[in-house]
Amino acid sequence: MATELVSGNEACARGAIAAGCNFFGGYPISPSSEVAETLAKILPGHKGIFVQMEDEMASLGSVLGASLGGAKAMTATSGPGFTLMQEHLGYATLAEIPCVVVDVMRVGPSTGVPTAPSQGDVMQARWGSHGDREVAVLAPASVREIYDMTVNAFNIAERLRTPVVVMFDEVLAHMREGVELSAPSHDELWRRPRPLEDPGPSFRAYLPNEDGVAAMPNFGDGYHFHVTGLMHNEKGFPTTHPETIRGLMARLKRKMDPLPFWLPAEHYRLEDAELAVVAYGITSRVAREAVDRLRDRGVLAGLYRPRLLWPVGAADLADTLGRFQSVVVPEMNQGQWVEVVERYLPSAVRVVSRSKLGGEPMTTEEILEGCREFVKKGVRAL
Amino acid sequence: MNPGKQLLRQDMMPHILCPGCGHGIVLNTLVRVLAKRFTSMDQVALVAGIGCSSRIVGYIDANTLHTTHGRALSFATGLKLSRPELTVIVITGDGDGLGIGGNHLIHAARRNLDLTCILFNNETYGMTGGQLAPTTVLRAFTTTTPYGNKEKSFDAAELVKAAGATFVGRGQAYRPDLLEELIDRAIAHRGFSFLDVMTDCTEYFGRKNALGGGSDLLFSQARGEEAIAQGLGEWPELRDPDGFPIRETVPMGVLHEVNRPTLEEMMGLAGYDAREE
Amino acid sequence: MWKKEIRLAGSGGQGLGLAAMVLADAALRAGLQVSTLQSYGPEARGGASRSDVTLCDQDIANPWFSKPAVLLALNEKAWMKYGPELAEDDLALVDSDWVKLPERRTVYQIPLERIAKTEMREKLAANMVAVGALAAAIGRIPLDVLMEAARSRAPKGFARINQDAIRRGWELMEDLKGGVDRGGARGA
Repeated sequence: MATELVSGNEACARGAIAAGCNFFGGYPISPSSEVAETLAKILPGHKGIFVQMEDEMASLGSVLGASLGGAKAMTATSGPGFTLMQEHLGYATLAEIPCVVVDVMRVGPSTGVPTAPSQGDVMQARWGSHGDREVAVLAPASVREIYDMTVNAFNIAERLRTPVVVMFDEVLAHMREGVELSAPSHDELWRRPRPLEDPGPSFRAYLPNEDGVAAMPNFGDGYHFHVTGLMHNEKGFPTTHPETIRGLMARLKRKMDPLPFWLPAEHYRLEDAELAVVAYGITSRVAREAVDRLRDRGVLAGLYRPRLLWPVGAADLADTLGRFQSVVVPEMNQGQWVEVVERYLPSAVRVVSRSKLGGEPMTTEEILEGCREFVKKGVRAL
Repeated sequence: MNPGKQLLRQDMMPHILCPGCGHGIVLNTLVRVLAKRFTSMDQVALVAGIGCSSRIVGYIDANTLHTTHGRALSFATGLKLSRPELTVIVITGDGDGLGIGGNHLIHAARRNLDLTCILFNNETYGMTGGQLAPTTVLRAFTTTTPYGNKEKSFDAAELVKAAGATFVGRGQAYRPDLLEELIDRAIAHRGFSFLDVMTDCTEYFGRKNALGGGSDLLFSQARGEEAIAQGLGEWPELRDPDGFPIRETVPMGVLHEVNRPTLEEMMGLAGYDAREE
Repeated sequence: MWKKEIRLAGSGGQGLGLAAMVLADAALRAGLQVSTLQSYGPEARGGASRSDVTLCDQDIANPWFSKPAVLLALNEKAWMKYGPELAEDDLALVDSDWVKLPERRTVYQIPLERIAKTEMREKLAANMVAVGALAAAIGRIPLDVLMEAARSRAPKGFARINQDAIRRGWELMEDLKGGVDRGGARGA
């Protein structure tokens, strides 16, 4: 297989095709537009549908409609559009409709800087939709990983019947890296659970299997089921019964439990480390170089890189980082995922946020500077 | 027996509609048409937004999708594109379809996907308690226009026609016989078909404007028609010169019908099926 | 580890995106690890424009850099913006017709645009003259590999012109390198 120069946005589109995506509904927005442009070009050749909708709410609406028809469907957007999509992300969570949403983060709030990177949507992805819900958010850190994680996202969306968000930033979106992209085999693509019983009045569309996920037929396949954004019972019909609502919400949370095992965090040079850096996305690339440089100078540093931002792999986080005196968390925001690190680590661990705003990634030097105060005296100067 | 009755989900009853509400008549008319046109509902999908009208899809034993406020047409667009063989009918209200969902409505009309959109027009937001809608006539009282409405209302049929719909009609809950024919023709039409259907909200709109009960409001639709027949023209007010409730209901019937390639045809989707396996 | 962070700077429309792609493509073909990042948005179509390329003989841990080790400046503005940050042993190439240099700097100077205009009869080929010259200065990418990348990336009707431009840039740099090795900056 040949190495080729591919941008993050192109890799995302090609990953979607590799995952079997056959529907894209979207609305143009920088810096994600190349995902739509690439799919507009190649989807028809892969027996897929591309439609440009009138706004981001309609984009995700069309994706959910297509998914109910049996399509593997996705959309891509950036901050302001991601904000508009929160309504349908909440809907997809409660109605349990598989879909993939790509958010290429740019500087916000509001229109911000449309063409500059940030990591400001981390908390929006988690809490952006009203009500309380679990959400799957993947954070690739390279062009190759954008391709792979777009495939992962479809697998998770289908397997767990849930919206999955893939988040990266403007730099990763437009950066080209030399990569070999190998498509997953048919067996590596997961599909939504299908009902074993024939259509009939006894069919219950939201009766969960043991893993908390209910079988999902397509519209048009003979199962006359009802889908709603109202709280519903196992038949899918609206309910206000408190016990039923509590049971549904608990199930929606529980079914996400396997995610941290499917996408474990990367541990880089952490085994003998005395200082840990926690970083994701483009910042983790810079942090990796910073860790190597610290090591070159005799500082035992390591990198903890979550690939799944939500739900948090809390057990691994606590097990791995609980023994450190100091953990440094650089982010291109005012300190968002650092709150997660603080929440799950013992209070004895000093967790420090190093934030950078303004539309530029951190530099290696800035991360080194951020680590300076935790480097023991006696090691060579940074 | 009503041939449509077998299409209702009995375990969803009782329904949420108020006594005197016109929506039940439209629902009844719709299921009569469905029972007549389709031997099975397997290939029929009903998609709705939020509001009193949108709730009715849950009562029909078919593929039913109750979506978000105003956005049913976007879901219907994706569903229809992924499964062009389905008959997709969108149920919306005047607030849902013309207020929060107005943008989706005009773009759906422009795209000319083979969908049918039935808008239940009761001139108010019923589910939220009788507030001003984009269709509320001048001077009417609602809970958010305590001093009378000062805004001009939308003519839904003209709006959707201008946006490019290939079939536009208007019907009344007062005349289910004519409405039945209209719904049947709208579903048969190839392309985006739109029906503006006059229904009434007795509980909020009727009460707030002291227009009487359900039957009074139904008769107000008839009075509008009579006013037209007598050459009195449009009547954008609540009462006629004699003080009787009157509903602006002009014009009625099929208002626009043309043939234009549908989006499915433009995309070459004959035989397309997004299902996996 | 051998790693070069290269910044190509000028204005929109000078073909810096293509220059970066040819350089990156050739480096890939030469077995190097590569990443590129081009300026994006309105500035790519006018105003100040830049393209960054990272070349490395190992996996690129961090593809992003703020300060380059190799700079191409096609105009004065680009030089003023990025030139002052360069260290003494960093490599710089400027269009000598457009960039006024402080005398003490050791910088390769070629009238890139003038050469493209007079010799290739195509002002736009200045970017390829620059690519040829830069690749010759950086090393690691053989000329024939560079020519092949230029051919495969050339817009319709530009393959021959771009290849000629690259060869010319390469030759000019080979001459200059001799000069610099003997001490001091030289112009072509």
